[in-house]
Amino acid sequence: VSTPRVDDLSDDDLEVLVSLSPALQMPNLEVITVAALRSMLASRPDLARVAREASRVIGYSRHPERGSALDGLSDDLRSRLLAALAGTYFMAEKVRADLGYTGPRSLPIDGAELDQSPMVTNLIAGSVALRPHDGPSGG
Amino acid sequence: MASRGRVDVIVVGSGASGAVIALRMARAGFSVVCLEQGAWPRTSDFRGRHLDSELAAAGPFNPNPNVRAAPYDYPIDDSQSDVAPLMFNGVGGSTVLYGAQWYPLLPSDFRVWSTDGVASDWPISYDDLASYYEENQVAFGVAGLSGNPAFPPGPPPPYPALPIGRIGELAAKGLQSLGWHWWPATNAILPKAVGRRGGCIQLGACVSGCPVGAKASTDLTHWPAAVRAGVDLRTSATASEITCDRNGRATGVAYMDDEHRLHHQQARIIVLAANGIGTPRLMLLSSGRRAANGIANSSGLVGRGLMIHPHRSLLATFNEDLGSSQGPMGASVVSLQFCQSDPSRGFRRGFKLTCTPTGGPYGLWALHRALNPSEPPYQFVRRRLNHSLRFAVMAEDLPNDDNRVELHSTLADAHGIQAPSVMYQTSDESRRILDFGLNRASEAARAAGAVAIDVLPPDRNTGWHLLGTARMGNNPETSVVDSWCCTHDVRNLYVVDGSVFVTASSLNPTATIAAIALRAADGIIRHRRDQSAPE
Repeated sequence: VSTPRVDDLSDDDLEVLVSLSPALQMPNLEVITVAALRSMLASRPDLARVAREASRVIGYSRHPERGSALDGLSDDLRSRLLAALAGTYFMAEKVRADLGYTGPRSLPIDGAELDQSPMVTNLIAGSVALRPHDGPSGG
Repeated sequence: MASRGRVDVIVVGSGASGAVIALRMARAGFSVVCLEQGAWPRTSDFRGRHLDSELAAAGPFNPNPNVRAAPYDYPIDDSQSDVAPLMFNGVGGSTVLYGAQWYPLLPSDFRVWSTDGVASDWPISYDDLASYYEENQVAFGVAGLSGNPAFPPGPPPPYPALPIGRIGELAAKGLQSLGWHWWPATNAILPKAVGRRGGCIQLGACVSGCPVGAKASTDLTHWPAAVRAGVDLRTSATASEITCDRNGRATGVAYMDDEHRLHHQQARIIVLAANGIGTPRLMLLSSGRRAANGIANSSGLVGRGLMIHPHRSLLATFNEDLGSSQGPMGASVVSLQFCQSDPSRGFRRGFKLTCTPTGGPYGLWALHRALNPSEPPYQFVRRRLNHSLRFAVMAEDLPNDDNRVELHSTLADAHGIQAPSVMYQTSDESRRILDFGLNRASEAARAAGAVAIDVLPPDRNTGWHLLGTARMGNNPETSVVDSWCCTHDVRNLYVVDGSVFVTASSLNPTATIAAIALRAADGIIRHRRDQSAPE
């Protein structure tokens, strides 16, 4: 992933992005200004990368069904902006805290055997007796 | 065009089948060149540990080459297809991005004509592949629980099954209460670190590249050993034509490098391992004086009979926290209750049912867009994130020659090589299978205690399994390759990828693709003295 550049999103892009948030029914997203959004992205290169990547990614595809709130914009611009909004929206700390989502976490298995709980053990024991309708398809 | 001295074997493609056969043949003493149009993937590029993981999965690691649009991808015209083909081009091929579910076919899958009167029987049986399944599950590092009553007895997988998690417990409870078969899923994912590969840490990022190398992709499992064994693996090498001598024997492969320079590599044997679209594309591109409709295509079946495993799924939401944003993304538990024909259901053959995690918030937000329910998007995500599981229905589609790969008249890749067109229409029978499967999945979800069920609309981006476009058979008029994967028409040209599938089964194909490739390698090795060199 290359070095993030906030400038990849123009002021006009950000203006539309901000204006779209209420139309997209995202109530927990605070109303923010273009300047605030740019400032946030400038101080958080990880979020800037998210926004830029989202723009780049979805810019390849056309999704004209995405709603009247985007009418009047080109397919390309509205796709890029919507994706950028989604990216920044879900990754904003406030929203992550509300969702209880902290991003991918490392949950090592460390070679542990399949769940050893009595419930799973009993389920598996029961499943041995359950065969597909014509039994094991051997021979 | 620079032509290089003759080697024993050229393998085109470095994915599951290409890696397996290249390594086997190099170890048997053959000189092997592998042409791979992409590059080595770098584990450090994978974003699975990071907040933008889901966006990376939608972008630079998107399995749809038309979206990913990397320089080494070829475009695919899928405008006439219900399903978008998915793949990865690079060392390891699509194993870099697959979910790593790892099952043999059922023995009955090889004889659907005999049992159900549909399609054709395979010219090989489960028993022909059994030892190769066993060998490959060690080579790839498969984790699973032995004793699955749906399969014949065999040696256990080398690693214990991954934890099925709370989603698996709930799904198992639901399936069991209905009296339906289920079993912990078998995955080619290491539960603990082995060598340079890490153990699974359940990031939920399998399908955008495993950042710890726990998932078995052949760039990790096979290629380091293959290169040490002497395979000349050439990246950024895009095959453009199989060349032939005046007797119709293959003489080598022409290919382009990343600066659009044309090369030619001579070989005694050509092996195609470029997946169910890339392989027929190359065969159709290779039309000369003796093969106006493409090489080894006297049957007219090259590119025909594409099978792609139609797919539908639902979200089942529970009140409790399931931790379902993470976990191995292939499957937690699997049910093979409905894999085989039951005339009372109104369709032939059947489907596989799996329970999988849902992934993170961006993916759920995307599902909301697809569903478009009255519930506001944010509420939709918040209610389901870590509280949902997905039941996926994967249908066995029967071969239909109208479902096909052709060369596009104008679309081309970065080298100017004609791109493929893919035509795939989901049959009425497949739709009946999917509808039936979704109803069964809903029953299982309710039995498991789900408080809400969202049946997701058809998703075009499910074309992972590209099968049947150079099918295997004993009759040259109705098949492209024989039971050893050698083309009927050109006896030093082999196809070893999913193209050779006669029927699709409803099980994931990678284990069978790898088994077929290994068996084909042994066939070539056994008959090495019979292979005369082309002129």
